[in-house]
Amino acid sequence: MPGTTHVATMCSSSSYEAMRPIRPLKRGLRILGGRARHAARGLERRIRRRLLNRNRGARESRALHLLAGDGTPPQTALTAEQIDSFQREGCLWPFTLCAPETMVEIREYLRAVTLQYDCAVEGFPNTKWRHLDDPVVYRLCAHPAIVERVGALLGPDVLLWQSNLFDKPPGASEIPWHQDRLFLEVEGGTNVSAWIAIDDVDEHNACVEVIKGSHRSVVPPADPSARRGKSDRAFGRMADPRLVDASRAVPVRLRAGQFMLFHEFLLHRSAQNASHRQRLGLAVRFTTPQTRVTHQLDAYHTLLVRGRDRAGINRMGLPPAPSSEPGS
Amino acid sequence: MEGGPRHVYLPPVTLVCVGLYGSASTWLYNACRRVLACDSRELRIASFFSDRPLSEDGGTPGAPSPFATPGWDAAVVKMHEGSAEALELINSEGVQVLITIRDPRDCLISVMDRFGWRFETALDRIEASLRLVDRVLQVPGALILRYEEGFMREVGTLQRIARCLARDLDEETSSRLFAELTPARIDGLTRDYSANDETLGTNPAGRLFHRISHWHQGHCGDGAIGKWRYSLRPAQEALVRARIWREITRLGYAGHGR
Repeated sequence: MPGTTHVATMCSSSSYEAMRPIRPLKRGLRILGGRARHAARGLERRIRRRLLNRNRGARESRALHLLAGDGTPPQTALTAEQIDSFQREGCLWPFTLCAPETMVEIREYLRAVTLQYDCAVEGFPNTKWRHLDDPVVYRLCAHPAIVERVGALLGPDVLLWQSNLFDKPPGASEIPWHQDRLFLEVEGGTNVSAWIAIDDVDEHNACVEVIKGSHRSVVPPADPSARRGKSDRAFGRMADPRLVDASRAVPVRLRAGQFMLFHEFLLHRSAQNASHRQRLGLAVRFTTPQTRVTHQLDAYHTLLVRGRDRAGINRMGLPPAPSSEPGS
Repeated sequence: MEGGPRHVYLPPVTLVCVGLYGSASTWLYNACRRVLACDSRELRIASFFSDRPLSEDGGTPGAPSPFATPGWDAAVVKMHEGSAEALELINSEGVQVLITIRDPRDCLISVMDRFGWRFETALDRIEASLRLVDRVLQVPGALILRYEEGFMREVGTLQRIARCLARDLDEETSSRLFAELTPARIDGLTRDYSANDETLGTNPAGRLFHRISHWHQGHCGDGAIGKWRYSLRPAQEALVRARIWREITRLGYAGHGR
C-alpha cells in the first residue's frame, strides 16, 4: 500500500520499532476503513435504489398508460407507394408513434428509471436489450404503429429480437458509416430496424444520416487493423470510408415520438453531437421467425410481436410483465 | 400403454389448462368448465386434474379417462407438470391450450404457504412446472393469462375463454358465472367440506379438496405480487437464480428482481 511504504520509509529505525505495536491497529483501521467505505457505498446504492423503486411503479404505470393511447387505433398502414419507396431507398420516415409531449414523459421515465439499471438479463448494460426487462421499452418497441408497418414490409409474422437505447449526450463521438447487418447475430432472413426519436433530432444533435438506396449493395468493412482505440473492434466492421459517397448523405430529422424504418443494409451514421442538446434514440430490430437468432446468452429469448411462429427455431418468451399492474 | 399404439378418443372440444403452481390455474380450469357447461345442448363433459391425462382416471377414482372411451363431448384437463402423454395431448390437432403464469418466485412462496412444501420440494415442483410451460408457450393459439394482470378478477376473462371456443357469452351469463368463482364463494364452498364426502380427497398439506373442481380448503391466498422479496432468504434466492433464471426471464419477470 502506498501509505504503508511512505510511513516505513519516513521513519528512523528506532521510531519504526516504536510504531510496531501500532501497525496492527493502523492496519485494522485501514481494513475497517475499507469495509466502512464499502458498507457506505452499499448503503448508498440501496438507498438510491429504494428511492428509485418508490416511484418506479407509478412512473411505469403512467408511461404505459400514455403509450396505450386513448383507444384510437394508431395509423399503421403503409401505402403501396411507401412499400415501393422502401424497396427502392431502404428507408422510410417520418412516422408517428406518439405526440412529442407524450414522449417528453416517456423520456423522463427512461432517464429516471430504465437507464438507472443494467438490463436484468446478465451481460447487457443499461442501454441494451431493455425490451426484455422493461415493460415501457417493450411497449415502445412493439407499438402497433411500428409493428404493423414492419409487417407490411416483412410479412405477417414478425419477431422482435434486439433493442438498443442510443444515448448520445453533448460531445459524444461519431458513429461512422456502417451497415447493421454486419453486426447482427442472426442467420438468414432480413432485418428491418425502427429508429425511434426520444429527443428531437436534427443535424445539430447528431441525428442519423442515411444514404438512400445504399442497401442494394454490401460495402466492405474497413480493415480492423487500420484503426485503434477502445471501440475499434466494432469500428473494424464499419464501412470502408473510401467506398462511401458521403455527399449523398441525408439527415433524418425527427420530432420526439417519430420514427424511421430502415433496411439492414442501409448505410447510415451519426456525427459527433456538437450541440448542447441530448440525443436519445431507441433502435429496434425486427425479423421473421424463420431467421435464426444466434445470440448465445442462456437467458436470452425472442418475442413474437405479430402473427405466428411457424418455424419454431428460436426460443420465444413473453414480454416483460409490468411491475405495477393490479393484482395485489 | 403396453401392446402397441394407444387409441385416443379425442372429444370434439378439448381444453388443456396448463398452469404454474399458484398461478390461479384452478380458477381458470373451473372457469372453462363453467363456460362449457353453459352450452344449450346437454354436453357430456369430463373435467379433471392429471399430468398423465391419457392413461389416468378422470379425477374420481374408477372414472374412466374420457380419452380411453368414446362418447364424450368435451374434456377439460388441468395440469402442472405434464408428461410425454400430456405433450401428446397438447399437440393434438384441435386441442385448445390455456396457460396461466405468474412470477415463479411468487409461485414458490404460494405453494410453500398453501401446501406446506419445504423450499427444496417447492423449487423442484416449480421447476418441473416451468419445463411444461416452456414447452407449451409456443403452441399456436394458446391463451396466455398472467396472474399479475388479475385475469381471475375480470369477468371479461370468461368471454375470452368463450371466444377461444368460438362461442358467445352474453354479459348476464358471464356475470352469473363469474359470481360463482369469487374468492368468497370458493371459501364458502370449501368451508363446508366434510371428511366423509367421497368426492373429496386430501392434498399434500392435509387439506380437503374436491376431486373434480380441485378447490381445496384455504385455496384463495393473499394474491400478493412480489411477496418473494420479503420471504426468500438470500441463499434461497441464489438457488432460484441458479435453477430457473432463464425461465423467469422468458416469462418476462427478469425486471422484477430489484
